[in-house]
Amino acid sequence: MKSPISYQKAIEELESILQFLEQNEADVDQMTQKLKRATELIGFCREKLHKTDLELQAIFKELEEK
Amino acid sequence: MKHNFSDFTQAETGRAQPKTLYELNNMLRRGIRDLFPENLWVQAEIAECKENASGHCYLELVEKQGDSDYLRARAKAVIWSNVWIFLREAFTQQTGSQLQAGQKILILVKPDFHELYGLSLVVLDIDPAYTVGEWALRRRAVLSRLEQEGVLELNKELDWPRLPQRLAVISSPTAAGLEDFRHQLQHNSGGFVIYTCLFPALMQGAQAESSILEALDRVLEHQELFDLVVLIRGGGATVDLSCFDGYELASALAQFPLPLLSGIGHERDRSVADMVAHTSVKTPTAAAELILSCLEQEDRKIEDMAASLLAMGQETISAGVRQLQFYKERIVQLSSVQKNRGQLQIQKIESELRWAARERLQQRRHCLDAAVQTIGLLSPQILARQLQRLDVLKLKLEAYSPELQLKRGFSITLHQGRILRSAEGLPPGSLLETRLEDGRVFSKTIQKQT
Repeated sequence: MKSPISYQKAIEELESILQFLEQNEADVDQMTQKLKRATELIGFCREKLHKTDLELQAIFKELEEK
Repeated sequence: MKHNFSDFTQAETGRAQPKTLYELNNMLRRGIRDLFPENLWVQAEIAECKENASGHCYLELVEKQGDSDYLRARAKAVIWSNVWIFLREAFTQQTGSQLQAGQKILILVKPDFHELYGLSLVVLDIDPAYTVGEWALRRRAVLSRLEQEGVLELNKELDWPRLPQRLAVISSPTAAGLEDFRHQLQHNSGGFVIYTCLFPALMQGAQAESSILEALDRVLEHQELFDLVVLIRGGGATVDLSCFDGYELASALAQFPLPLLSGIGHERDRSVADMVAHTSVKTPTAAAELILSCLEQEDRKIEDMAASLLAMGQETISAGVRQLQFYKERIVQLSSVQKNRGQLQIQKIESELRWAARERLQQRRHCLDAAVQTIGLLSPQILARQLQRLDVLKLKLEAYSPELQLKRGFSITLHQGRILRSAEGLPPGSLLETRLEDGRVFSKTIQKQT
């Protein structure tokens, strides 16, 4: 996956993929390619929401203890 | 020159007898009592407010010159405990604040002068509506100043984060509201990850404003780590929001580079801090709910997009499958047409062959029929001629028959069942059979001559 990428950018790219697919009749090859990218982006977004960034957690803890 | 008291009094002879201080103060006391036969309403600002051990409330009242800190007037006031009990309750309930320094109040007083304690205003009643109105005025003044400076809406103009996950929380570390807030975020049902970092500050009292400003400064140092600043007031019985109405704090909040969410409670009126914050809610719980709802919304959005993509992917696959199916059917169709064409050809050839065969058969049958007819026509004569020939042949054959030869006197010799035609290879002593016309004779060879 292209990285680093922000959540905002990921959502924008997902939206543009959806828009492309809604407006164009994609053939199987195009669809496969787009779906692959979209799957990566969705995975990234889900991770942002649900997976703990231990590094950030540690930084916050340290800040609090200052 | 040396004077003594008696000299002085002597010198002043002719004037009235001097008063003692007590007498003077007593006169003042009576004078003031007479001057104010009725109680009167007075506007003043509290400079100091203390409740002593016996439950009386002592106030230092001032009046300032305009907006400056220059004092025009000052007076002591007291609220006796028997009155204070009721006034405190009513005031707190209606203003949401305790009586404290900095507040402007409208009080019903009875000016009193005590010989020992001097002038004091005995407070009999307080009008909380005046204080509330005064706050509103003050708030309005702060807001209009912020507006003139062009900063009032600055925080509201910031983009609200799509994912408010990294929160700088400004609150009192001991506040129950803070714990609820953190617990609510950490144990959310959506399984969202939320990071909170506490920047402790006093959330009420005279020190609150500067304390919050300090906390904001510390957040600013780590600005890039956060999506949102949350201002939470800790709860508790007293709802004292006056510290959130100050110009300094409001100005700092309005210009803060991160969006602010205030959850400092405003059951009656919104504080200035609430008004300049990007978003304000009533309680820490509501703040947590708002943050969670943002994350839920994003989560839903992602899942919706995933579902749409899946549906479109499936549609494309189905379309592909349909197309393949179409091709397949077309091929089958075409091949069956071809097959039919072939079958028709075969049938044609078959029928042609059958026809040709029948023709040939017919021809042969005609030939045969003709032959049969010919034979049928010829047969009686041929038969008679053949019978004659057979009779001749029979006579000829009979002339050559062995019986006739035997009858004529010839015999036939057999050796080992075979006609003996040569003496060669016949050993002496061989058993021979000789057939004659009327029987058979068996003999043995004695000698051979050739």
